[in-house]
Order: sequence, then structure tokens, then C-alpha cells
Amino acid sequence: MTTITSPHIDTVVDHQLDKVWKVIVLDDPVTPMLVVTMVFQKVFGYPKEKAEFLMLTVHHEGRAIVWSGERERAEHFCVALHSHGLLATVEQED
Amino acid sequence: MRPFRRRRDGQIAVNLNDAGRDFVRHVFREIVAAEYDDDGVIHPVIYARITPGLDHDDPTRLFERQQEVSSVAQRALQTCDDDLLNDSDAWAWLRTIQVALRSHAFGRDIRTAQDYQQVEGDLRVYLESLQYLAWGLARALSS
Repeated sequence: MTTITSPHIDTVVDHQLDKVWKVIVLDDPVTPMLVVTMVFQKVFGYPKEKAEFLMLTVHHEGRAIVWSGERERAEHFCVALHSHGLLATVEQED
Repeated sequence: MRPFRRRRDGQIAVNLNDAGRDFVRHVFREIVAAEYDDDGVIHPVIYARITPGLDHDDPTRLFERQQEVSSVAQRALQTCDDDLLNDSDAWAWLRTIQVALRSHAFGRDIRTAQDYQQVEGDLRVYLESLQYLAWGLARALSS
């Protein structure tokens, strides 16, 4: 009879995955406001009112957190915003 | 006359003269070519960092973005002589024009409203033309 012992396996936990990641859109002086609103509606599926509120936040504050959640989806949204010509980045929440 | 207008059948009519068509064709070609032009003004925007807090971006995401920008611009280029656009094609136009607009502004260090106010001459006309087309497409798509 053979005794099978389970090997000791070290696991590395990536704590970055536990944290919330934010998609941030930054203001630029050339993009029409209507375009920003429409891109938010299209990329995130936000209703017009929310998209307009976020657009105005970007316009007045210089930046706005437009989405937060897991890193992979945040980066996916950021890529979508880039490919629609908006200035966006992903940051980890403190 | 508006450059783009939503028709009753849902399609978007393109009301551009020959000069306007030549302009958008030039813009679309520029974005298609940017993929292979490392030194061009478009390149830094298409290849901007996604997650600056990390040492490097996920290569899958970089490839996804590159493919997205390029395929959308090629679609826009293929339809640039069409008189009628469906929503998907109109979005391809809008996205490509918007990438061009922001790339030219970013590439010339136009980061603030004050920077933009100081822009004159051909560059000003070029940026305003792109803005006019982007706004016109957005308005038609939202109607």
C-alpha cells in the first residue's frame, strides 16, 4: 500500500486583485461635450442623465471616476475609452 | 446645412462636398497608417499608458486597443464615400475623427483651454474642422 502525501504548495496571493480599481477620465480642451456624454452612454450603458453628470464633472473638476470594480474590467473599459478618443487611465483605490 | 442628418428610415445622411470627403478620407488614412508610424503625432495617444501605477501594461490590453483603433479606422475608410451610414458605421467615423482630434491636440501640447486659445492658423482650422465633424456625428447619432 502506498501512502500518498499531498505536496506542500506555496501559494502567492496577488492582493492587487482584492482592491477596487477606478477608471478615470481626464479633461481635454478639444473634445466636444456631447461626444463625451455619448461615449459614456455607449461604453458603460449609462443613462443620459448620469453620462451628462459625469461629463460635467470631467469638465469642471478636470477628472472624474467613471467606473470602479475589478482590475480586468477597469482596463477593458479604459481601452474602450481610448479607442473612442477619450483621455482615460486606471488607478487602484487607496 | 448640417454635415450629418438622421433620416426617417434611421440611416444617417452624409452632406459633405468633395473637399469634405477628401478631408475625412485624409483623417481616416492617417489613423490607419498610425499603427506603423512610431514617430507620428497619433502614435503616442494610441499607445498611451493604461495603468500607470503598474510597471507595465497588460500586453493583451495593448493588443486589444491597437486592434480596436485600427479596425475601426479601416471601417471608416471603407465607408468614406458612402452617402448613407448606419449607426455602426457612423460610430466608426466618430471614433476615428475623435482619435485624430485628441491626438493632434495632445501631440502639440494642447492640454488646457488656455493652450487651445493660443492655437492659430492652419492647426486651429484643422482642429475646429474635426470638432465640427465629431459634434455633427454625435448630434445625428443622438437624434
